[in-house]
Amino acid sequence: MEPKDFDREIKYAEKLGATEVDILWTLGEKYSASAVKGKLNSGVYSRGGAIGVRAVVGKRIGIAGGTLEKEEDVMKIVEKAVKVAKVSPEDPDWNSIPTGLKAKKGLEIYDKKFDELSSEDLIEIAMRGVELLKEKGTLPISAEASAFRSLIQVANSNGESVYSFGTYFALSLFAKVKENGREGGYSDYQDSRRFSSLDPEKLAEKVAKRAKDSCNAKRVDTGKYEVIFEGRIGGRLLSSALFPAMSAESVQKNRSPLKGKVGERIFSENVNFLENPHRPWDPGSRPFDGDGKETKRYYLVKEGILRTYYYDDYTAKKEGKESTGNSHRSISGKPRPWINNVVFEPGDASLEEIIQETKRGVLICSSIGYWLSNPVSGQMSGTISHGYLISNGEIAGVVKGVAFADNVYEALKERLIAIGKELEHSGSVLCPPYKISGMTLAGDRWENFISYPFIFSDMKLPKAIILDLDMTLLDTLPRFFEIYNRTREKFGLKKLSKEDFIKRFEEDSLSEDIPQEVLREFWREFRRRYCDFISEEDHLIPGALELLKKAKEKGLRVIVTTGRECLPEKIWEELEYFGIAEYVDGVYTLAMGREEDEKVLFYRRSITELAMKEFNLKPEDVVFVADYLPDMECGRDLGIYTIGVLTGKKRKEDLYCHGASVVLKDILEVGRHLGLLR
Amino acid sequence: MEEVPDFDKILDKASKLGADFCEIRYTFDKYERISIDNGNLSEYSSSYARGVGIKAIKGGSVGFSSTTSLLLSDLLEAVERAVKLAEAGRKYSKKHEFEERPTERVTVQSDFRENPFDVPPEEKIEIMKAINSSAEMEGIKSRITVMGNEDSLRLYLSSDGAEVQVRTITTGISHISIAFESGKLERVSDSKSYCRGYEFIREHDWEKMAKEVSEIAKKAVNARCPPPGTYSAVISPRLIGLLLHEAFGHASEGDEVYAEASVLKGMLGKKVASEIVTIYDEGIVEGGYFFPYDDEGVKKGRTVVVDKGILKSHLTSREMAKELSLPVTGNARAQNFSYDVLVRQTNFYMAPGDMSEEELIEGVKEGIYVTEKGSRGGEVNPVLGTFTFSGGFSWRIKNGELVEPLRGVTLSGMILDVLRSVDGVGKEVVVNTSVFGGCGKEGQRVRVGVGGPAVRVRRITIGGM
Repeated sequence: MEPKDFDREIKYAEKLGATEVDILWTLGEKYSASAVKGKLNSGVYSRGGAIGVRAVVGKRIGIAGGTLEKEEDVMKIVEKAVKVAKVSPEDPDWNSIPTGLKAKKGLEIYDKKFDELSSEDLIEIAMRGVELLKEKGTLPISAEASAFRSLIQVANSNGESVYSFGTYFALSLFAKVKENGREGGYSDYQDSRRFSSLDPEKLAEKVAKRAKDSCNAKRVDTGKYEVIFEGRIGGRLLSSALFPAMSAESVQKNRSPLKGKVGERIFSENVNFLENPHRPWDPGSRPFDGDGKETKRYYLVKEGILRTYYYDDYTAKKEGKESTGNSHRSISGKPRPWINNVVFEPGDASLEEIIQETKRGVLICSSIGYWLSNPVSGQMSGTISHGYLISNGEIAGVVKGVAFADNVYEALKERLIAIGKELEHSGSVLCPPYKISGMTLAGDRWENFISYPFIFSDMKLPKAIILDLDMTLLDTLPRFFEIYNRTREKFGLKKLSKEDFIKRFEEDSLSEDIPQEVLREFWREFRRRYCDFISEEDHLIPGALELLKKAKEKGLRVIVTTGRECLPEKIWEELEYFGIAEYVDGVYTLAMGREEDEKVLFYRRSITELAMKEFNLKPEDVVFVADYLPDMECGRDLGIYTIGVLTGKKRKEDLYCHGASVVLKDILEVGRHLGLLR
Repeated sequence: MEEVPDFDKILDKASKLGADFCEIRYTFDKYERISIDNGNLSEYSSSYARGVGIKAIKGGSVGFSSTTSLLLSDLLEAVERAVKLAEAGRKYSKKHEFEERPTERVTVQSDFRENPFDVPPEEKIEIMKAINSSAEMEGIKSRITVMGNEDSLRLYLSSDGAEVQVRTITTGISHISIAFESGKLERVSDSKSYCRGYEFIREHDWEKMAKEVSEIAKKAVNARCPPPGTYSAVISPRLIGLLLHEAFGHASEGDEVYAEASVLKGMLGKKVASEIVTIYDEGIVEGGYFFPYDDEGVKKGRTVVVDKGILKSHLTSREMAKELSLPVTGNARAQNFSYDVLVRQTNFYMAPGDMSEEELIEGVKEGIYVTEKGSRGGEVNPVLGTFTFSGGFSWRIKNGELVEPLRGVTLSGMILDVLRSVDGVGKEVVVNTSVFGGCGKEGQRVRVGVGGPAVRVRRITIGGM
C-alpha cells in the first residue's frame, strides 16, 4: 500500500473542462474470523480500493465514485464526475474546493502489529473468546475477531496531497445462558486502533456475567426513576439525539434546535464536550478529514455553554469561517460535517459511587432502538435490553424490555445529577456514565400513567370488585385522628394537633417518631381499636352507595377488605350503619390474615387471597380499588387490575410507583371507568 | 454485461488446490443519488461497486476471500487465499454441510422499459426540482427530495456447474418536510420505490406525494405525543410490514434459529399468532424487490412462514436447511462480492384478511391508528423477541373515529404477544421496496420488500414523550 500521484487524473479532468477537482482514495485490507455456537464458521480475507472524485465546473459540482479494478477505471470515474458537473445547476454557495491540506503529525493511529498478523492469528483470537465464554459457564453463540488497515489519501487540483495509514481491531462476543428453564443473553465488543487494547479475558468476563444476570431480567413498573447510562449507551444516545444538531449543515438548513444558540448556556455547567481527534489509538482519531483539512482539538460545549458548531470546508466557507476539520466523506457522496472523536469530559465519581447514591433508579447498559432518537426535536428514547434496578444504593434486580424517553436538552440542563469517571467509547463518542433524575420509564402497568383522557380500552366488566373500606368507601379520617392520638398516648407519645396529623397523614409519615421496636405493636393496637367507635363526622364517600348498588345490579360480587384488625361482624355492623351492607357479599379483615404475610405494614395479600379463594375468583376476574400504597403492591403482586383512588390523600405518582394499574380521583370515577356509572 | 474475467479458470484452480466445493460471486452495483434541498441541487453523485468474492470449502472448513480487482492474477491469488483460509481453520471449524439444490443455468432481469441511468441528468434534476418546490408552503422550514437509481447485477457460479445471473433495476423518490411552529420542529417523510425503469418516475404523481408530506408535517408539529401506555391499535400496511420484518422476520431466519438466537426456536408447528395471521416470504411480489434467485443459485418461490397462526417454516440457506433438516427456501443473500451469505428475508409480508381499513378503525373504542409516514424504522432483539419501533404520524381513535393527530409514537413489546393479539386483518395488501434503504444484519445491507394489510391489535405498548 503506497500513496499515489494523481496528477494524470487531475489533468485529465481539467482537460475535460473541470475548473477544480479533488480526489479521495482509499485502500484497505482486512482479516477476520467468526465462530458460531462454539465452532469456527469461516476465515475471511478481503482487499479492495475505491476512489471518489469531486469535479467542479465553475460553481457546478459533480461527484462520482467506484471500486478500483485497474488504472483505466479512475479515468472513467473522472469522466463521469465532470459530465455530471456540467449539467448540474450552479450552487450559489460554492466557494472553492478545500485548499491548505494538512495532516496533524505524530498521531498514534497505526499499530505495526498488523504487519505481523496472519489469518491464523485472527482465528486464534476468535476461538480464545469462545473458550473463555465456555470456561465461564455460558454457551458461546458467536464470536468475531477482525483486523483492518487502510490508506486514505486526499489530493486536489491545487497540487496538494495528504495521506495516512491507520489500523483498527475489533472483537465481539455473544453468549447465552440457560438456567432453571430461563434464558438470558448478552453481547458486547471491544475495538481500538491498537491490537493490544483487545482484552478477550475482560470482555468474556463481562459478557458472561451479564448473560447470566439477564436470565432473571424483568420489567419494572412504569414511573419516574433516576437513570444512569453506562458510557457506551450514553454516548450512542448523544450521537443520535444531540450531536447531529451541532452540525453546521443542520443549522444552516434549519434542522437544528441549536440554531442561534452559540454562546448560550444549553446544559448544566458540568457538561463539557471536547472534540479531540488526536487521542492515541481511539478509533475516531485521525490526522485530516474528508476534505484533507487538518483535524482540530476544540470544545463544542464548555461549562454548559455551546461554543461552536462543527464544520466541514463547505459549510465553513458559507459563513466565512475556517473548517473545524470535521468533513466526513464516502467515495460516492458529498462530504458532510460529523464529529470525529468527541469526549464528554468525565467527573470524579466512580460508577459504583453513583449507584450507591441512587435511591430508586435503573442503570442502563444496553438498549435497542436508541438510534430512533430524534435530533430535530431532541427526543432521546430506546428500549432497555440490559439494565439493573437500583434500590437504596444497591443493585436490586435485572431489567429489560422497558422503554425510556426524555428530552436531551431538558435532561442535560435541568436533571443531570452526576457524571462518572470511566470513559467508554462508541463510534465517534467517548462518554462516562451519567445520571439523569426524574426520567420516565415505561414498563409494566403503565396504563394511563399520565393523566389523559384515554381509558383502559379493553376493560370488560369484572366478576368481582374488591374494595378497601377506610378512605375508599368511608371517610373515617376524624376517627383515624382520634384513635391515632389515643394510641400515641398509650405508647407514651405526645398527641399531635389536627394540623400536624393531616400533614403527616398526607406525607405517609405517621410512623416517623414511633420507636422502631414498638412500631408493629403500635399499629396493631391502632387497628384493633379502630372498631371501638364511630365518629359523628365519619361519612360515606360520595358515589360509594351508587357504585355498590350498580355493581350488585350488574351481578358483580362485592367484597370489602380492611386493614382493621377486628372481627368481620364488627365491620358488618358498621356497613349496616352506613346503609351499604345489603350490597356487600363478603368482608375480610386483617384479623383473618396471617401475621407473617405482612411484609410491609398494612400489606393485605393473605386476606385478599382468602377472599378470592372463597369466592372462586382468578386474578383476571377481579378489580381491586384502594387508596393506600401497600394495597397497590398487594394488587400488583397478585396480578389484579388495581385502581388507586386519591381520597386517601396519597400522591398519584406514588400510587403508580407502588403498582397501581390506574389512578382515579374517587370512587365515582371508578364507577365511570368501569362503565358502571355515567 | 461488461467484460468479466474467465471464472472457469478460478474454479479449476480451486479444484486443483483440493477444494471440495467452490463458489464465486461477481457483483456489479451501480447507484445514483440526486438530492434537492430547499430548491437547490445539493448532491448529484454516482458510484459503483464491483468485485469478486470466492468461497472455498475443504474438509468441511470454509475460507472466503474477496477483491475489487478483476485481474486474473489477483483472482488466482484470492482463490489461493480462500483455500488456505479453509485449511487454516480446519482445527476449530464446524463441519459445514450443504443441502442439495438443483444446479440451474439461467439469466433473468427485472422488467424495465427505460434504464434510469440512460435518462439525461438535467432531465432528472428538472423533475426533482419541481417535486421539491411543490412541497413549499408556509410553516415548512426545510424540504429534501432525493431520487435513487440502482442497477444491480449478481452473477453466481459454482464448481458443481450452477450459473445464475440476476439483474435488478430499481428506482424511487423520497421526500422529507420539516415543519416549524412556536419553537417546535417536526419531520415527516414518505417515499416510493419500484423495481422498474424510469417509466415509474414518469407515471407517478410525485408532486402530490411531496405536498401531502408537507401538509402532514404541519399537522404533526402541533400534535400531542400520546402518554406511554397499552393501547388497542390499528397499524397501517407499510408499518405492519416494517414491524413484521424486524420483529418476526429476523427471528424466522434459519441462522438465527440455529445459533439459538431466535425466539422462534422450537416453535415449528406451534401457534405463534392469532389464527387470522398468515405470513409469506416470496421472491417476486407486486411492489416488492425483484429476487427470483438467491446468492447460492437457488430459486426463491413462496415460503409459507405462518399459516393461520401456526409457524410452518424457517427461512434457510443450503447450510441452514441441512442443519435444521428443513427444505432450502432460497434465502441465502450477500450484500455484494465482499461478503459471504447470511440467511435473509426477501419480500416478507402478511396475507390479506377480510376487513376494510374503516371496519378495523370502527371496532376501536379508544386507541391509536399508527402510520409509517415519518417512521425511522426499528430494532429488534431476536433472542427475546422484543422490539422497539418508531411510528410515523398517527391518530387517536375514539369510538371508531380518528379524532386527534398524534406524533412521537413509539411501539414496543414482545412480537409474539402482539401477533397473538391481532383481532382484525385488512383485505388490501401493500408491499413496498425501497431504493434508499434496506435491511441491515451483521454489517450487510440488502434490499427487501415489506408489507401487508392494515392490522388491528388488541394490546400494544406505546411509548411517547
